[in-house]
Amino acid sequence: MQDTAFSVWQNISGSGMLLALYVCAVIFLFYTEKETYKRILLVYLPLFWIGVLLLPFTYNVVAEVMDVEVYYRFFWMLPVTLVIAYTAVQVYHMYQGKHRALVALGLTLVMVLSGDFVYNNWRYSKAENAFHVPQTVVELCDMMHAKGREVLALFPEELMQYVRQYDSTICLPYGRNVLVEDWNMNHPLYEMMEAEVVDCDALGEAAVTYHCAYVVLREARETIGDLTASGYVLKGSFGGYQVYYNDEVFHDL
Amino acid sequence: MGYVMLFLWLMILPFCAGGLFCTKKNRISFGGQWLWGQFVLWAVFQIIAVYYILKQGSLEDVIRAYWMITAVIAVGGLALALKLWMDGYKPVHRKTFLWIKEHKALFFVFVALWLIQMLALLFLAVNDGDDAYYMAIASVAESSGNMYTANVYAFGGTELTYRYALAPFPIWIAFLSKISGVHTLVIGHILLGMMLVTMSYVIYAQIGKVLFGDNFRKRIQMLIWVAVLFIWGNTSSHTAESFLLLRSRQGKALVAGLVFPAMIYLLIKIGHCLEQNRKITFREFLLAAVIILTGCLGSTLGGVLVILLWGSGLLFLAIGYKKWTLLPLGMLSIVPGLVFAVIYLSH
Repeated sequence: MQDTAFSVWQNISGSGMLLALYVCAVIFLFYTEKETYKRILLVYLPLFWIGVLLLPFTYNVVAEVMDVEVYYRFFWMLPVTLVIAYTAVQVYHMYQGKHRALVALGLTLVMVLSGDFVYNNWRYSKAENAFHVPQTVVELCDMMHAKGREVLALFPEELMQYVRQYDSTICLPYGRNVLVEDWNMNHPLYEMMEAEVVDCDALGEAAVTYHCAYVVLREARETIGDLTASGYVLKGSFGGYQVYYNDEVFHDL
Repeated sequence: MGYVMLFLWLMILPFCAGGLFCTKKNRISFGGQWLWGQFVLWAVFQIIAVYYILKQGSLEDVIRAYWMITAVIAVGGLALALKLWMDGYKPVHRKTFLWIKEHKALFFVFVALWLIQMLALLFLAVNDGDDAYYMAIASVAESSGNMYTANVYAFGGTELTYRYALAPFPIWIAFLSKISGVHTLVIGHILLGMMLVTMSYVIYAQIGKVLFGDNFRKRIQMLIWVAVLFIWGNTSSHTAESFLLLRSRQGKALVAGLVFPAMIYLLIKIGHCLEQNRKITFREFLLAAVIILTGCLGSTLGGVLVILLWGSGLLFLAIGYKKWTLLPLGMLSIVPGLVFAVIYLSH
């Protein structure tokens, strides 16, 4: 289904509860806030931008001039967090005595239940080192690093994105761009590396053609043929990966 | 020694530079001085880095120029702050300490929530595919001096992509790594996250100060609820809170988590001055230009959006208070940011 301005906003809002909370906060401030500048900046200005950004016209204009995938960033102009937190303080101070503790607890609960706990995000994992990249990548890169020069290496897709972040002298024949479907980037080596059964004879020949001094293979991946036929020797195993090295290719680059 | 250099560049020099915003009428806190000083240094970095990137210079050129200009700004800011200090105008931190003492429990709740985020930044790694570009740009620049003309995904060179080259936040990470010797990943994944999240709270603290005045109880309560919304704000990976906590080393997080709240702060401050019939000084418009340039450092689109926010906010205030003189100065303050937008559009 094609995106619209409203669907972009819905996607940002998740279940929509936090968005509903924001709308309630704006309505509350509309009726209670007395100071002009607060009304202007916390009520009218956000309402203006919500109106403008949800117009199909605005969405279409943005789509004409740039990649519309970034449309969600336009909604960052809305001070959602500030308005909800400010309103919560105002609501809390409308009450007196022991009711206040209940109000504070209630407001906090509403926020917690409307939102999503960030540390449940699938992107998080326990850091394996101070670099916050997999330790296998650190060990592999340290082993491959050659002082004063670059080295080309072929990595499986799950490690690829970390390599040049950790050590920029280790280059890849292709990078993370082949993983992004929308970019339609293909590379013959990538197809060979990620095949269900890796043909090591063909892979070895292609890796030599692309000047890859190192080839990193998953130990668990089924293979046929042998990389040694193309001049590679097994250098060792690191965290579930086998590393092959070709001295001739290394010195030819 | 590396961490001492980072402390100097991330704490001491910004604090000194922040002296530029200290005046007799505008007594800012230590936190505010550090915050706005860092924004000034980011704005300066944006101008210098983009100049050398477009000239196809190296990171060393950027470092040389940035060192000199930062030194001048920091000395100037420090001199201004010291002069005020000697004239008897002390920063407002003493009052803050008394308030903290008075509202210990609330303050510790906030500190606990802040600490959770700091510990998470230290011990949890975040898998984000965009790092393959942004952090690799930093890594390549740090090791070879090359800025945006190396193919960071793979091998070889590439043409300058203006969309990225005009928002050189990764080069700032490379700069920090180069002058300190600390790995770009340690800076990007841990230290920067800690710094930006903390700065974001300082911005909300500044906003609270304007909205609630001397009512410290309300100010700290607002900060607590802001922290709750940060931690539970992950309704999608595209919220400002998600960007700040998950992808703080990417310029987009700088825009989402710091630049927009900073601009909202400035608008609120100007609105507060208008409400109280107080004069709006040139410094407010200078700060707007600085915030816009920092937005450009984070993302090209971010720079444009922050200009839109500033322009629309100022227009609404001008209409609300019938203060049309705000508009010419407001227009003037967007000029530096517009230059980058024009460069982008002309390529």
